[in-house]
Amino acid sequence: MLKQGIVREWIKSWLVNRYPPEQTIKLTQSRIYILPTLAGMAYSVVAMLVLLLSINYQNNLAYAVCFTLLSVFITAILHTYANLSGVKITALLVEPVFAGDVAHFRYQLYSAREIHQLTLCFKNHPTVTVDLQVNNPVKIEIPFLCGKRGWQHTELVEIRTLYPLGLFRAWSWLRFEQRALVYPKPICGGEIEALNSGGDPHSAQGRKGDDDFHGFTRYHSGVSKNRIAWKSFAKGQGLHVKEYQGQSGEDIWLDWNAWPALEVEERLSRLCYWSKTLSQRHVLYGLRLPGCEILPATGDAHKVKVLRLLALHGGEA
Amino acid sequence: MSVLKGVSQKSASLDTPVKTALIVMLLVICVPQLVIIPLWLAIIAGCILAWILLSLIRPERCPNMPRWGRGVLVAGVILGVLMSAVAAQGLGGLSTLLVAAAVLKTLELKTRRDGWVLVLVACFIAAVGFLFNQSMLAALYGLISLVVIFTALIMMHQGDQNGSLGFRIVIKSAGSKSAVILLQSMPLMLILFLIFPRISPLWSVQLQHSAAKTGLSDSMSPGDISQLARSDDVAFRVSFSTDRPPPPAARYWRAMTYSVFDGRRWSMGKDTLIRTAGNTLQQGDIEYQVIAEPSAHVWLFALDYSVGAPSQGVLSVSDGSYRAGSPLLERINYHAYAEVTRRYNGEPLNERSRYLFVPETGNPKSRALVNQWRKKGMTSEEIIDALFMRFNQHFYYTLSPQRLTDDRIDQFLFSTQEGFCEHFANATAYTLRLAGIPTRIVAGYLGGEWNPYEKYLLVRQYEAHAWVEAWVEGKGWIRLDPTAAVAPERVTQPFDLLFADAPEFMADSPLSAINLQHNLTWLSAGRLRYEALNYSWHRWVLGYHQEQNSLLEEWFGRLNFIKMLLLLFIPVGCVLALVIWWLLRARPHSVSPLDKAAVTMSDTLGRLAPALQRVHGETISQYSRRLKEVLPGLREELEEWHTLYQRVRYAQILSDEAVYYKSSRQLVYKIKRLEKHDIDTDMDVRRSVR
Repeated sequence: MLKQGIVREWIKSWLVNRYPPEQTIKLTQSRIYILPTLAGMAYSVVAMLVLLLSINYQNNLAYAVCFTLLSVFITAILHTYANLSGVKITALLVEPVFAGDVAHFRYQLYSAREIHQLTLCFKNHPTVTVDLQVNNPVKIEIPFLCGKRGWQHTELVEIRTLYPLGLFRAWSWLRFEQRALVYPKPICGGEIEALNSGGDPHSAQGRKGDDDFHGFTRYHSGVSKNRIAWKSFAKGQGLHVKEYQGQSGEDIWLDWNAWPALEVEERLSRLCYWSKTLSQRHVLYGLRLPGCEILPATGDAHKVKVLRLLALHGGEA
Repeated sequence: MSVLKGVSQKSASLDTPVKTALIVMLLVICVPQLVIIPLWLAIIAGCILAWILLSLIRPERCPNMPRWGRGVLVAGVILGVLMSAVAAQGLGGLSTLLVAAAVLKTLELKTRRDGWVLVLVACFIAAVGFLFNQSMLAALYGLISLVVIFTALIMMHQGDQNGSLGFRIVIKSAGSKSAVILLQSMPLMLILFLIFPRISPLWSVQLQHSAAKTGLSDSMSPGDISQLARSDDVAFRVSFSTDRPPPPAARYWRAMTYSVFDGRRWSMGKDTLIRTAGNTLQQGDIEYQVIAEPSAHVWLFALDYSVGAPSQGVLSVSDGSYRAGSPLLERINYHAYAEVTRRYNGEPLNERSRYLFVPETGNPKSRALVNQWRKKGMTSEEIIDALFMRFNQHFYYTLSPQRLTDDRIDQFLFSTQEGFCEHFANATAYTLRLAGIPTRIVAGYLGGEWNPYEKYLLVRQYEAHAWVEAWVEGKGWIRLDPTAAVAPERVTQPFDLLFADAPEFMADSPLSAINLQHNLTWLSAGRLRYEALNYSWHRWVLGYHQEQNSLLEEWFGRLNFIKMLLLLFIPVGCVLALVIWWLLRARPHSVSPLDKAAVTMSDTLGRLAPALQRVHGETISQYSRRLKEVLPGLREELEEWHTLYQRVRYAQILSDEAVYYKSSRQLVYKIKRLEKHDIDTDMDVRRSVR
């Protein structure tokens, strides 16, 4: 058991060293591996049985069947190989996810020939199967379960095919220069003093009413759709975002020091939860972490900024 | 743009089109087995397959079979197979077992693994089928079966877009892919077929040959051969090294000699086998090759007079005939030599008494005749001449002579005076033995039909013949054919021509090719060509193992291991390189099927008016906009088509693909029915492009 693990680690490190990470990978001879499947081996056993039959009965037509089966076996190698060769895979941007969620790593596949039944997956993860038409790029998303916050670098992507006969499996391992940002796992809990002083945090929704409308600002990406001033957009005045006044001028601060009893990850999880919750309610809030601070604001861009800081806390920038 | 998302690994289950393809494959594979498997199994298998097929095509009409129903069915079939396997040994049982297993497997056809089991069993059944039937037609059917098997296999691995594209498109693409793969495998297969060494069987097996028709029997009493005259089965085929047959009068094919006579029946004596013929080959000797059909007997056919040693596996017998080591259950192929006139080098006659034995009593009239001749002091030759003179003057050759009873030879010589070769040989041998001349009867064939296309002689069962050999001091055994004396045309003319009018000849097959051929020459030529093809098939394909060594040596010189490897790898490498080049070559001009529909439309319109064709560089949107202006009658259809194109091509809504193709077809159909005046000719078509 232990030995197997060592071998697997060794193979993995060898693969990692063999292929430097790239943005776009074109599958060529040096990357494609091909071996018979279990069914392919059963098929060659049947071919051998037919050979035995033809030898014993000295039957030339049975010989012909046997040799046809064997020749198809050989030809299938080429066909399966050709069904992987020349495929170009480009890594695309990945949407951030919370730890414990499935990140969808996005890729674009392209081939100058028709390709059938390409299956892509991360090890022990669900697969995606796709057909490629001639000169027609296709985008796919491969799921990967992210466990830890921070930058999740892509594992080796396995790309494989059985087409056309299932006698052989051609596969390749792809290592992309691509990473996904993983936010801390949001855990409900901990209390925010500012909310408590204002009353029940769950009634906070009432406080973001239209009465508190403050003014317009220019549209910037990441703003929630329901805050866009569609009326003014319809009048041809361009995209603007409605700004709301926070409740009673008293800003909410998500503070690292609010829960001294908790461990680092647990604190981050609480902060993440509150950031998510408050953003949903369009409440202004700020973040205080040791060494940095984000001033109170609201909107998706703000949320992303906050979550990113939480995700990368204590690690690389 | 839509994006394909991950799905969890399902246990590769088979969808309806794939299952349908697998069932159809099984039906195709099982059809040739119908003649082998028992009737009950055929009926049950047919019912099961038909029911499954129906439940796949129309699931709403077919209720599911209850579990216990399946159980009873499976148990019943297994019991039946076990019982019939006890009754039928060997291959019939194997075939039954395979078919039953495959058909029962269809009841549990769910995952890809089940599909694989079916495919592999089908491959094996296809090979087993050739043990029962090796005709050209069977081979062609086998090839088709392989295409079907690989089509089903491709469909299994083609994925589940099948639902959106429709069964026919999927079948077509899988079928053509399978044909391409098989075609690309053919060169490799042929090379393997040519050079794979044919090993002798690893253990002995018995093929059941249902009633191999025997041409001759190992004994004769007049009457046997008349039945033979009715069979036009092939006895054997011969090709000659010079590609020229001997003249008809020299086509005596010896199968065996009868030297033991008990008064009624002639039978074979104990002739010794000889290792090598003492004679060496001489100028003018005939070298020939025989392909003998399976007869379930040991005797083979030697052109008179055999000389030298035949090829391996054939035994020479001291009476000049050939014999096989074991009964012929399969076609056999051998080389032999013959001399045109027998060379006698003075060896004495062994066992003279055996060739002179006749019962002490019986046939008084014949005895009296012979005594009369001997009193006159006639020599052996004179006695033979006298006898043949009688035959020539008073006797008739007929295939339906009267029955002979007590003193058969007396009756034949003095009262009925009619018969065929057996009767004449019988009477001649008997009479000469009475006269003290050692004789034996030779059974074999006389004649053969020369096929000018493939240059071989075809000898049929109805050409069976019997003649006499007599021992003359100083000359050895000489051939006496009494039939030649009474009916010389039997020797020089083809037998079928001679007796085509006789009602008993080929009486049981009035419509046989031979009865027809004299009226229709083209049919005769066609038949000869078919025979020629069949001969090549037997000789070069089915009988290839005997040819292999000589052929390969002729082409490539002496073979050794390295040479064999080179022979295998050089052509195989070339073929595979070609295939991979073909597979990987870039196809810069290939268009996706979506665009193909647009191209078809543009071509159709171009035939109507050249200006309506799509201009180089014009996008589909621009083109459809332009068409809408020119073809106001089709505005709505064009609009719909263009929207669908956008949805499928750019939004990649694959579910709309089928609708798009349908819309394209309808549009092309409507365009074809357009008349000139439907086109808005006022508009300058060219200008609207810009």
